[in-house]
Amino acid sequence: MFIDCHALPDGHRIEADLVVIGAGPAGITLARELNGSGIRIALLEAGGMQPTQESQQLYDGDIIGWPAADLRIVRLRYFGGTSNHWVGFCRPYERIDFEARRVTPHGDWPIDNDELDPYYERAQAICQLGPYNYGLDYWERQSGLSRMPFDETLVETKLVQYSNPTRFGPVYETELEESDNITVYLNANVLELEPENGGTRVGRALIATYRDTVIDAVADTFVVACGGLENPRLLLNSRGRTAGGLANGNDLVGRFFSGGYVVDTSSVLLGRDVQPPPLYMLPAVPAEKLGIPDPSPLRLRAFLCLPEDLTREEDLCNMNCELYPINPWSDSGTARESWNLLTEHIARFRGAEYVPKHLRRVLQDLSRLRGHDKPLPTPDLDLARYPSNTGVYSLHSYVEQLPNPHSRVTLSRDRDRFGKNKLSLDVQFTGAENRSIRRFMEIFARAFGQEDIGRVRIDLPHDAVQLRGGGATHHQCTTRMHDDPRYGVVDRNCRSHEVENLYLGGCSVFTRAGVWNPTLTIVALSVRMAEHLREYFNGR
Amino acid sequence: MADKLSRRDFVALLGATGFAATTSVSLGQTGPADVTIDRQAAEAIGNAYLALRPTEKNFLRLNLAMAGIGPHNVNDAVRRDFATGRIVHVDGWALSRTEARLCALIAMDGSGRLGAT
Repeated sequence: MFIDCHALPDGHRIEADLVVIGAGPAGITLARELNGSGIRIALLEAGGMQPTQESQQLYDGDIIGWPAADLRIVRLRYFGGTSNHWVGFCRPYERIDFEARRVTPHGDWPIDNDELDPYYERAQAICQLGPYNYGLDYWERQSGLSRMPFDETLVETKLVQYSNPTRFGPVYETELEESDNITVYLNANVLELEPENGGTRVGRALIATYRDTVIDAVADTFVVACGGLENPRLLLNSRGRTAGGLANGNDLVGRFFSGGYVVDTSSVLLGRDVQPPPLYMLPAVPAEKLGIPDPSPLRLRAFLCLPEDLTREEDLCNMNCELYPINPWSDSGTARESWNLLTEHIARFRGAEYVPKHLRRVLQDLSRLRGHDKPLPTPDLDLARYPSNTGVYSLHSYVEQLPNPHSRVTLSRDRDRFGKNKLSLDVQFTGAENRSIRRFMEIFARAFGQEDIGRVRIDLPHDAVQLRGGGATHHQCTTRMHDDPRYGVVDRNCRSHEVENLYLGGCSVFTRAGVWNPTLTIVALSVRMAEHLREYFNGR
Repeated sequence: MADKLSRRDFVALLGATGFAATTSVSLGQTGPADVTIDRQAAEAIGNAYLALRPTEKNFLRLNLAMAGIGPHNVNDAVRRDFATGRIVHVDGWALSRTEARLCALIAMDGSGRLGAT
């Protein structure tokens, strides 16, 4: 059932066994996994069914450290959350993502990929992917496509599956609507969690609507699943009798922010007769080429990585890389830049004066494509799908941001329309990220040259990782998981070390960011949390 | 001061002829326009390399250092360079030492032919 909180009277009280705050991939998955369990669930969504300016504006905040993507654009605050503009990359985290190394002194998860494996398999279906198999050999046999012939002690190919992508709101709306034990509350802005029992339990959630009515929710258990920035913000704003915020006795809430960064200043010139095999190119290889019965949304794409052993040996952070064609004739950079500006201004609900100029540039780019007898691109303007006509490809590299307690979310002095403090994001790096990306490129240069596949141009400014604005799109690790409360906000079950009926969902609980896109892991962790909570409620 | 080596130079040199493996050999074998473009690019790379390694700015000595490398085995030499880490960074491009030295020879040789010594 869906209830719009605007229809509820001021002072209304929601009563449930379990309150889940946030209806993105984490919250929706948790609720769905408990569908039919008899546990009365209130799933609170701060926005409505569609984006609105008044909701999105509540994601405003300050960026005070290294550049990061605009906080009002990179996240979406309506039913389905940020899955509403998710690209769809999926790959489970690997052993190396979970282990602590010299380069990641704070990076040891209390669980590993073996522990998560059965939950990944379930998450695979929830994200509407293909078979739970990411093995390159398997997919080469299945598709008849082949990898690039690198010395695999230097460079490995790894595959990602693309979700359709699953928009969790529309896809799972009917199931939630028809559920007997789940009620979705829209326009429910949780302002703070009010502690009781000296801060060891959450008593209730205070909720405001856009019509300035205030209601509350009481429950046995609360799960906060509002994303890697709002999770800490809500805890920090839930001050009660403790100035530092809820579940923050060790001053860890908001620390260790990791965003995931992109560096694309280096490039490779492929040999005259070398074309990247289709696995590496957009559009990702579709289902019918993979031996998967239609209809299937499955798509597959290859990334270049360093082998795990070499990454450990060189003590580098995790990275991967994809090939983006550089096509001077398409002037794609200019069009893409304009497209980004357009979407930014549209998302901010302003900027009518900017639109014509940039739209013209985008349209010019499209007409050039037409002149080259290529099919027109899909509306996402992903010009990277065409092979380079110069043989030059950008090495579009994703870099793990390493755990750093000084990289953090705090509260700004500015307040939002409900009087709560906005957030302040201070992105900081350890320095090992820059060393890693340079070494990564040197190894690539050797691998490309050794097999005579291409020559690499390494073009990295001194602070290559930091200087790339627009990174930090995956907000992670701000209420991280650790067995020791001195190093983590939640335990291995995602339950607060300090507040016994409080759980955190989403990628704020990641101990380390890793390098692969986080959504599949977010969903896997929610499935796992649902199993834990089901046992808890059954035993009560 | 070495000329700035543009991506276009590099593409012209390596993209048009295959990699530098064939550079020195093909200079006299392709059409006149290609020869000009390739030579200019090779010279740009060569000059950039020599600016980094001024001690190699001696045609005879460098030619001697390259003794034994010819059309029949230059590919092997280049691959061996990459495999053993003999990589030089010329204006950002990671090249095998053999490639860079071939370009340096071209840059130092007014005729653009290795055989002109």
